[in-house]
Amino acid sequence: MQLGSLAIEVSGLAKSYGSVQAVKDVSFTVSAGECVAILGPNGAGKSTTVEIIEGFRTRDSGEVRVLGQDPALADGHWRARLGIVLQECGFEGFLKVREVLQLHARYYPAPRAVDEVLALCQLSEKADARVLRLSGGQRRKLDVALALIGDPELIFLDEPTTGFDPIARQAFWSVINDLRALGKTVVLTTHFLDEAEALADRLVLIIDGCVAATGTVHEIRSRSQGATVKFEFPRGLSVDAHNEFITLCTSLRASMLNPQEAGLRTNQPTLALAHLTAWAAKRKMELSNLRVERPTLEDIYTAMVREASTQGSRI
Amino acid sequence: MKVTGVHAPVMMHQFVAEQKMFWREPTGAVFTFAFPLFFLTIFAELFNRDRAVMQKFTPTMIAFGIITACFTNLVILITIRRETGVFKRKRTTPLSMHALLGGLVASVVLVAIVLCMVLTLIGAVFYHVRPTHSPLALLMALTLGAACFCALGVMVANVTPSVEAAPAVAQGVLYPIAFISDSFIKAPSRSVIRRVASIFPVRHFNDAVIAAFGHGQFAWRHYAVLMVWTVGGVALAARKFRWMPRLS
Repeated sequence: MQLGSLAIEVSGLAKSYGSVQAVKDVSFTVSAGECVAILGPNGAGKSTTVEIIEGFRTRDSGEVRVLGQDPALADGHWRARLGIVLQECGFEGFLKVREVLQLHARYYPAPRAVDEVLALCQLSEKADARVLRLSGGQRRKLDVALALIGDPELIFLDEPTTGFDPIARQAFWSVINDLRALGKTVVLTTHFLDEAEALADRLVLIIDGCVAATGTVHEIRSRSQGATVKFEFPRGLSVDAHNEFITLCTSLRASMLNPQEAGLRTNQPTLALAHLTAWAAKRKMELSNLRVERPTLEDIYTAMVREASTQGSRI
Repeated sequence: MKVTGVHAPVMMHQFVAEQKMFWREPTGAVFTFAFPLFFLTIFAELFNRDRAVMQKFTPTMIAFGIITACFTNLVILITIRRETGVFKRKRTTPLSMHALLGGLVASVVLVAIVLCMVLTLIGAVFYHVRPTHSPLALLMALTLGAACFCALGVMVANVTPSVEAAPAVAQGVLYPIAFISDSFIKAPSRSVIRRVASIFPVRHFNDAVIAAFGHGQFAWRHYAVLMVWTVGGVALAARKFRWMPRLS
């Protein structure tokens, strides 16, 4: 596959279960070699969308192309080019870890070496343990190992690090980055925004069956110009000084945080900071813990989901 | 197609993996062997080890052993693999339905062969039962029976809703039919029970194995009934096969 060509094209995708419209109108693309994270609250249609792309579910309408094929009509050739990490999928528990990997390696025309994949997924020590005896985190690693054994060019990861400890997560992220360095395309669904931020080139946010936002992490973050300036009021702050602060906020068109917390929300943090420090200097006050906070991806995501759900409830 | 062209070797690996799992999983292996061995030895004592009776009862238990090894095991194993998502995972790979089921069927058939040999050996050593010297008819009856009950096992597994229900469905289908089909007690000739039983494959399988076991006789009418059930079973088994668990 050429770099820059499309690995996935989805347009106007819709799917209902009975009277419930799980996916209403989803369109997005993923370029070859790109890592895209699909985000969204539970029940937003994220899993249904991904399962249609993976070829597990049929769609009601819309166009889907994955590696140039319609997943609904896909064959073994197409599946050999994909690696899929599913949620909660059973194992052949009475086989050993190495045996399961060897068995799956036989399914593919050009698999990776079993020992290499064991090492990559940090399972070398458990190679001769029966799958039944693995912990939750180790099973998740085996899920990933099984998805990689066929040396796929397109990899789907459905909440891959659920149940991982922080060290294992970091290690997993480096596995994904290694795959990306090899030019693999990665589609990730996750609830962890730091994971999306660490791994993904682009985000696709699905809310209520539709794509609510798409873009790079930077693009989505810059949708919000706002910043929060925070500090702590000095002890024994006079009523006068407090009133001055309120006036200052009004003149800056900044909104105050709740009365207990000292701080303000503004679209012009530099100007706000200048006025604030001038006010403090004039009153000879030291503003302890003074800081400017940009909203995190998580803040923006939470705000968007909330906004969408209040709009939804108005209808 | 290249990928599906590698059917046979993949099926072989699938078969080997299934064999490992079968013998490592204690309950399945124990129960597959326990029931036919238990019935053979208990009934032998009830019949005072009468040689003439055992000459017919041993092949009946061989037939019953094939049915439990093939039918019961397939209903339970396929349902477990599907409902726990093992099949769903296989669906993410190029593995075909034929290779997946082929390996599983080959595995239970090998178990059935081992069970047949154990039952024959026990019959010969303890009850002086003499199998035929011309085994062609016996091979034919056993092969047709194994094929039939494998097909029916896959078919019933397809409509079994859950792991919890699987043993109950398998036994609930098998035992009533086995009881009216002379597997344990001989029904009076020309009774209603006999006529009902003649619809199902179990009695035909029993009679075919008895005829072949003692005298090497071919029982074409019984073979024909088994083949009809096999064809029906295979058609439904292939059409209704599901990779996905029910609640997914």
